[in-house]
Amino acid sequence: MKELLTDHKISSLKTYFTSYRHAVWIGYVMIAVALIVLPFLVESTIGRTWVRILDFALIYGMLALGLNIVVGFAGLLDLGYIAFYAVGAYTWALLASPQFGLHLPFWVIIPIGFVVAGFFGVLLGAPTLRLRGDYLAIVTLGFGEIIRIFLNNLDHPVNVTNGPVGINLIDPISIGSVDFTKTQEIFGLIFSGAHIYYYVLLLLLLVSILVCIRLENSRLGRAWVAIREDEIAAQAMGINTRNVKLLAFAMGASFGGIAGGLFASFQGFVSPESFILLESIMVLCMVVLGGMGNVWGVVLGTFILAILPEVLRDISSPLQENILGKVWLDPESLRMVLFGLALIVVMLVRPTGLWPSKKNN
Amino acid sequence: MQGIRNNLVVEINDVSKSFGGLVALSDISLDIKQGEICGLIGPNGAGKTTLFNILTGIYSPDSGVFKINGQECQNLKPHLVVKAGLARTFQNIRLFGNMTGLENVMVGQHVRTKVGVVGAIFRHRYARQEERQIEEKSRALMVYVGLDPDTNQLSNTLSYGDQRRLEIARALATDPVVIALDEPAAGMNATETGELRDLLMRIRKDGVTILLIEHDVKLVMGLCDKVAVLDYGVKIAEGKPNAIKQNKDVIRAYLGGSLS
Repeated sequence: MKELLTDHKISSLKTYFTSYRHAVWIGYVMIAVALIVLPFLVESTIGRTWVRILDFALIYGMLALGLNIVVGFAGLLDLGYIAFYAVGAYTWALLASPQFGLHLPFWVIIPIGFVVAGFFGVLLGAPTLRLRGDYLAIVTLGFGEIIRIFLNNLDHPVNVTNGPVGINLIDPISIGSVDFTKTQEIFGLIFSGAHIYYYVLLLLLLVSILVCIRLENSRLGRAWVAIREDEIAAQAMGINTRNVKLLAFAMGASFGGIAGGLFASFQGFVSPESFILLESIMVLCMVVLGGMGNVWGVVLGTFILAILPEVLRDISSPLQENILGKVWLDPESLRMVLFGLALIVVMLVRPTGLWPSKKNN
Repeated sequence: MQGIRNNLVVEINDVSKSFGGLVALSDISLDIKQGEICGLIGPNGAGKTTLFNILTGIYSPDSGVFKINGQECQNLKPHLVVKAGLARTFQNIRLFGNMTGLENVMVGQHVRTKVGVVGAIFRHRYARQEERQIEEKSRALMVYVGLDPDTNQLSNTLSYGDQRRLEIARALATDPVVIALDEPAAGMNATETGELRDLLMRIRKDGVTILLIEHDVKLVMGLCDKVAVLDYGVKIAEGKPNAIKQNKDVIRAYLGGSLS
């Protein structure tokens, strides 16, 4: 009787596990379908602007994943990260716009942007190798500002960046004569530019997630975390901390560079005011709020912080009218107050982020 | 390996170091043979940890030469000293707190492995193979020091004795010729010290030379083949444990001049 029972138990466990594996696959397929259908739903219910907001959330996702390599994995607090986004954006802008009459295709510019931003990452990393924590934060903050000010002033003596006016008419991604920012009709379905870009950006974000997860679970990822945890002990275990830190800066910066290039091609326009300190802080908030060091946490944090302010913009006026009968506060300022409040609450309730990196036992 | 004379894996010749006006070490020489356990003792402030920090590349000596496994190391960065074959533990445990025990040991193999960014991202065959080897070896090392490789516990939640053992496993993961232990028995009770003693005997038997800084005189005297005594930055004695016990200079350094 006893044996029968255990046999029965084992077989039921087996069916449980096989069905569990099926459930996982069904889950993946459902997520994939949801992600493909999402822009159609959004466009038909709340409007095309929201597809654009999704696009920006995806771009921020790549940015935040890059910063997560530097801050989350290697523990190097970088407050000037947006500089690499700027470098990537201007690289694309200069290589594919009437500014210099260059119109390179996207598959040439993306690797160039990757390399150029990575180079700037090393350029920032090299002099700051001995710095940590607050000191590193101050220097990187300065670096971010230097890049922005350079972009703002490089219109004379030789005009490179067009100064504060910015660069216009940047080429979008296009394959043959198909321009990704123009509305296209395929099989009777209408795809707006934002909608097509959504798929491009989604694909790149998924690749970024994969790359980050693989880096994290590698010899290098462990070395980064070791440096974050204890730099002296990391050295004493034979890690060349200089090279490994520079690599973290370069990898993080390259993600920023690619995101910046896509931003430029999507907007068709770049100017220095897109790359202010507040943007650096915003990306850092996404990383910290989501859960430093955890790739999925960072993605979650990004989506919340990229979308929440837009939701608040839409609801802060109707909310006041319903509750108070009249719009008392300017929705634009109320939105930022609510946003700040939400950040404070999250950090009080979950100080290690919404989805922290390791299950603490 | 051709640089090794007479099985000497550590050769220290006239190493001196001063901080400002304070002479921390003056003309220290010490040789350690392959397979020996060498104890380094001395009162607080005698210069033991300074010597340790010089050997491991954290400080560079003002003068003098030292060789690890035949390779001159006095001007090398810490990670290159590890590559030459000297691994260490710390007096105040320095584990990677937010990593599991297994991950800590896996980090120790960084210096003997080589997969970089490309391998990490594409996971080609060599990268997968290396990763598997790293994990297998790390598991084996954890079992070797008496830890369970399957606990998913973060290392900062391990018990004190386990943390000490994990540090030794992590140091062994670098494939050292010499392992330098900075007060491994500090804060341990008699049982834990006994286990540590057994572990160190096993490590020696498996061919790794040990340099041991320790305050627990009983442990040092019972375990070491040779003991060197430092006092005020000078080596005042070197020899077999029994001879050291009788040495007048050593007794004076520990107990004060008036008693001898």
